[in-house]
Amino acid sequence: MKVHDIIVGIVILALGLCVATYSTTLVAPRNLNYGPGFFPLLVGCGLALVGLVISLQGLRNLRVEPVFVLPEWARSAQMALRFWILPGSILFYVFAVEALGFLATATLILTAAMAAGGIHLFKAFVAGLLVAVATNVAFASLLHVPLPWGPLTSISGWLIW
Amino acid sequence: MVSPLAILGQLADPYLLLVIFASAFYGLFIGAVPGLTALMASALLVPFIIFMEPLPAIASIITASAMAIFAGDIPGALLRMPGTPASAAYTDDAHALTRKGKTVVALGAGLFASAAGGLFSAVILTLAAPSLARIALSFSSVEYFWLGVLGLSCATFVAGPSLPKGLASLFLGLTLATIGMDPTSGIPRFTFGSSNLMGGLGLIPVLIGLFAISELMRNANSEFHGHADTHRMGPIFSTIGARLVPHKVGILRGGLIGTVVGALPGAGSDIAAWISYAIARRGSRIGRKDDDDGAVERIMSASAANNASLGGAYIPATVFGIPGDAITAIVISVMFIKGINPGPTLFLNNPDVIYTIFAIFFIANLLMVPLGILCIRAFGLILKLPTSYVSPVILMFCILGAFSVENTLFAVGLVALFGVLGYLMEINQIPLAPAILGLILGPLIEQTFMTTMLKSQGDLLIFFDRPIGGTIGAFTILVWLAAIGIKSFSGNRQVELTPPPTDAAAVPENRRAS
Repeated sequence: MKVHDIIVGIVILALGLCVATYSTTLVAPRNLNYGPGFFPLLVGCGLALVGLVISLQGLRNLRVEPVFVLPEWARSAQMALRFWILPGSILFYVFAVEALGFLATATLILTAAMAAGGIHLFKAFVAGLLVAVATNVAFASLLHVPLPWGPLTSISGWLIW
Repeated sequence: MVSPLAILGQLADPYLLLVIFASAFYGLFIGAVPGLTALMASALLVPFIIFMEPLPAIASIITASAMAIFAGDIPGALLRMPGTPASAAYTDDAHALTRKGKTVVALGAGLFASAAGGLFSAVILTLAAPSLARIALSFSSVEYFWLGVLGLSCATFVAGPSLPKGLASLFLGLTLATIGMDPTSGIPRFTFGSSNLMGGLGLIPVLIGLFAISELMRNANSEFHGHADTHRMGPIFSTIGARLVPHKVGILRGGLIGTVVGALPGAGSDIAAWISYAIARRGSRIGRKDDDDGAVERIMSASAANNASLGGAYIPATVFGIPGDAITAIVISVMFIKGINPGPTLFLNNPDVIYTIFAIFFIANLLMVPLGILCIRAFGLILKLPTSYVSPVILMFCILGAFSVENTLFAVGLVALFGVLGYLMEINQIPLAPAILGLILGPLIEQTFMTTMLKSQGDLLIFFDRPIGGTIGAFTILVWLAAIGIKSFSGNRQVELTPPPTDAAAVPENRRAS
């Protein structure tokens, strides 16, 4: 998803302006000369300035570089799936783990990601389940990370050593 | 003074030794798989080491990162595919030797030079750090401010060809650092009413997202196929033993360059390797030659440099509490979580801990030789593991890494967000290292800047009042002027020459995290 430097610069410029504007709303306590907004204001101005420079530099090779380069993953549905399954699985984990528990969520994520990588669904499921069980044992029992158990909460005491 | 017996006593702990061995095998595996970096190896260790005692936790990162940097040489030499970006500089030389049937020479040179470079930097670290720490005890907010600014400046200048893009990344990191409560007045900033943001962004989730997830996303559609014949190699020890003496100057030079570059915040092992390689190619009598001896000299110089940079990075980390690279940034966060405050007082309060950490460097680099040989022999097996199985498991450990440090699902969400951001930044040639250093050093810079400004009531001359602070300040400004001069000179020449990058090839190997 490569875009032209002019666009990159404009995005950074806009971000810098937002940061600087927000910083001005932070009022200094009465006894201090410089308040909580002072440093972010400087950083925001810096961000806006370099955004402007990147855009201006981009103008120099306006015709040399394309405005938008199609990303590698956009070439096929399979490639897009392999790419987007990564951030997608993390978001799925965030929203599903409390309800489903770690064991089921991890198995689903691992199976889906392995299957998207071209592994047969059954093999992916077996591998995913084994990894999920091993990870659950290691993290919950050995490292004592409070992983959610979901529907297994009532019997989780038996499963943690 | 610390008694050597006390250090030996700490090192004799079987648990510590077990952790070192396990981390060594883990680091060798991660480094030998193309696409997985030493930084990723360190970040993925976090969920495990967070529950360990401080020494085994730090030993684990030191060992795993040193091993991963060496192991990156193996696929580089055998498949012409560097396992970590730190090995990219000499991949062509090493692979050319392999094609001539001299795999043992290529990999043996890398292995012994890596261990020698690592040991060299460990010696410098042990000798230099205590004296620097004594000087650092007299530092005030001005000195720390300038050290932070110097670190960020170096990180930005070496990050890539475009200075504005390096700066954009730096300012982005500094902006992210301002999220949460203001260190001076305690007023919340950029939190938008969310209690999750009150304490600021956690370093580990951001780091895992920016470096590990974005790397997985970039490699999502690349399968690493290859066949490496590791059975017909000759003996490594005897072949290389005789070659070490003629190349000792190259190894020492590499070790020195690596230690110095590593000590500069932001400049990691890949940059150390490239600089050392370039100097060996142009400035050394043996390295200039196009024969096997020249290739071995270049491999040894660069390989010594990338491992030495790991030790170098611990100099600012232990002495000032300022990380030299992203790996030491993880070490510093782990130290804070474990109640060890890196900085000059560490040398006064916990000298045995710090010297044991230095001793672990020696152990890790000595261990590298036998385990490295084992890894070279077993590389054929590592290649048989398809990435389709490995990547999802790494993804799961990324999620668990963020969760186990912060104990919130919000942190897991941050991993996804910063994964996408890291991918977008690298594809658009915005380097990641300045952003992460901005996030790490931001609070230190803001706090020291605000303290100094409030103390002087706005008089900027205070930043140049003290002898050491003023000198570092003047030096930082000189570095800025030199860098802007060099960049604008070379930038004008590059604009016409650089072809537009494609999505997949947009990130040159030497600018990725090591």
